[in-house]
Amino acid sequence: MESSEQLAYWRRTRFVAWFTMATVLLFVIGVNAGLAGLNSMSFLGFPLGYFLAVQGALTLFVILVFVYANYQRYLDRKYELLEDD
Amino acid sequence: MIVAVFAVLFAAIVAAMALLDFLGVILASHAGILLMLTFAAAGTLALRARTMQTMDFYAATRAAPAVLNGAAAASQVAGVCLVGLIGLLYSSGYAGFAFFVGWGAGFVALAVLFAPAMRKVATFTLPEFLGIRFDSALLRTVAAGVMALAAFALLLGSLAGLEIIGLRYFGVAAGTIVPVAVTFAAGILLLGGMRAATWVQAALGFVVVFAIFVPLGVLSVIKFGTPLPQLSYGDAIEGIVQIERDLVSRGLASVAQQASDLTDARGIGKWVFFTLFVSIFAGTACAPYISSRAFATRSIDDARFSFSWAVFFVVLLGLTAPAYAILVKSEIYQSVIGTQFARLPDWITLYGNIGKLKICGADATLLSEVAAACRQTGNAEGLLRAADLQMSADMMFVVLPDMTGLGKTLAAVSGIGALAAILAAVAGALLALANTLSHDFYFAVLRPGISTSHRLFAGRIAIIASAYLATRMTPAGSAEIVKYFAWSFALCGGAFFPTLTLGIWWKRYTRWAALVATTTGAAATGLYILFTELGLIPEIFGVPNIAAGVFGIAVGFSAGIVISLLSGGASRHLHDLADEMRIPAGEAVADRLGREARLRADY
Repeated sequence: MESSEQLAYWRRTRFVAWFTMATVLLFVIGVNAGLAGLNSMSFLGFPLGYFLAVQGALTLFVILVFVYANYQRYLDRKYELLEDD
Repeated sequence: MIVAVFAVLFAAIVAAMALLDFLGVILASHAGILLMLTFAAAGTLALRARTMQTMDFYAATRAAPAVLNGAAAASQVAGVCLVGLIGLLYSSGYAGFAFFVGWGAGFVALAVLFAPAMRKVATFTLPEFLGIRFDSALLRTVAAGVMALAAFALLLGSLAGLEIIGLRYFGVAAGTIVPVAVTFAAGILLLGGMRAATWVQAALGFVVVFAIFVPLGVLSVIKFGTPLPQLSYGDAIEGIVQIERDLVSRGLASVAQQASDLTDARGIGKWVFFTLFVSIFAGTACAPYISSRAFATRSIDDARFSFSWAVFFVVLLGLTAPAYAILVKSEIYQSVIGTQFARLPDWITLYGNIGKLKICGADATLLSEVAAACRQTGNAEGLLRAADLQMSADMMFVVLPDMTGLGKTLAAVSGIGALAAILAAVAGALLALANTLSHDFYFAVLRPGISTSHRLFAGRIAIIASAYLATRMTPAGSAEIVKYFAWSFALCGGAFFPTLTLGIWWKRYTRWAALVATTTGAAATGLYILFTELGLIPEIFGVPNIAAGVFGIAVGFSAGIVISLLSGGASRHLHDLADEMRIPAGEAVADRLGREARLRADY
């Protein structure tokens, strides 16, 4: 890594990447671990655990990945590292 | 543009056909009309994408728009979803969600962890990317072998899903529809390779989205009063549980077939669910037939957004597919189980006659014969019990319009949707297989330095040869669809996930570590699948062989980390490459290397 600017860019990139992946994996593992307990409650007519583990997880993925892609676009602009083309 | 025109036209023709049905006009073949329309659109798109340039043929000119590229990536998994997984959700319940959640999380991982660096290097194939990243022709060849095997498995699994479509909608057996579909896919690819595949897969993706939403939406308006069953099928789950309790008390169902298995991993066990999730997750993140879409984008930013859109499309599938399984089950419980044999609905014999539905062990071809078969198995009361009914897993998606009386047009929409999903997967897998054979074996190893036209000729020969081989080896049986698909993903995850993760995010990762991790990861996964399938070894740690990727991932990460630490870090050259890949700005690495090689050659 040459400049301190690039280092700062990479630190932020790394943070947001691992933060996104950790959220995804912890959510999947967490909800599935507590599935039976959560299923005793109900939400919109669904068992709550099922709703979180399927609908909840999938919706979370979409939101997270678009937040990630937009934030990373912001970082690219801020550090003026956009590609030539 | 053509994709948009096709989308509007497709919807308009479906509406017109539904109107004609309503007026009582008899159409020769609903599915045939929609099929011809789809083929015409795909053919037009492929003709416009025809090319004699390697950049177009292998990397779609690096100009695929993010939304279409994402739809094309997601269409790679849609086929198995419609003809395999809805059946799995129906029969085994929660196990199926390991696939949906694995796909979603896997596409996120691809967008976040891998796609930016892959696009920065901008090769044509994943093995070539690994070859450049670790400066190792040997690693490239090993990776190409794994990729060919994985793509071939996906191709075979997808082709196995065609049988139900051929029998139900066109009255032809697998022996006819498989060659037709393969010829269609190969024809598209011969014209324009990756560029044609991108546009055609996106158009097919539209048909899939239309087919999973429209018939179900119409049904949902009739049943629940809302066009969004994704949010309203919760009540149907509760309904199923109650009907099931009632059927058990009348002796028509056994407690073993608990509907509540759908909402809980109890049935398969948390451990199996978890291993399957990890295997599918890792496979989605690095399967070459998916991740090579990163190379087809305009920019790194577009690569991230491509796979973000892929997450969106695959989530549409994941939110909708369970509604199919639930509604089919609810329909079966309400109007099939506990019914007198003579009063069974018409669709029972429709599927019985194509060998997809058995009652009391015999194909349900005639209702009078059903009663006779059941008397022999000891059902004297004349009411159908849950245990008497056996439905093939691949029919669960297309059967819903038939069993709910939605009419011929919507039934055809479902059928063409499933066919489009399979065709998209076939095209993608065939392309990945042929590309790695021509680019990573023939061009890289056997005949380096050949001309562009020679390379494209080799690429096209590879498509024809792969298509022929796949047609000859298509397995029979609906159980094979999900199995081959899961094996393909397990192999990709086991071989590539550790090396891609470490190779992009850990600068100390060395060439030898990458080579050993990829080889042992692929071997651990591949051999586990092979040996358990042949019955040579029992399951280890209770991991089913469709989740074999977890072994490769564990072995690959351990080997990669230990060897890198022991060998004292990567070489200066690899270190610099790892740095270069982290910065989006500037020339693509593959372009720089190519330019430098040409400069050296000139002097």
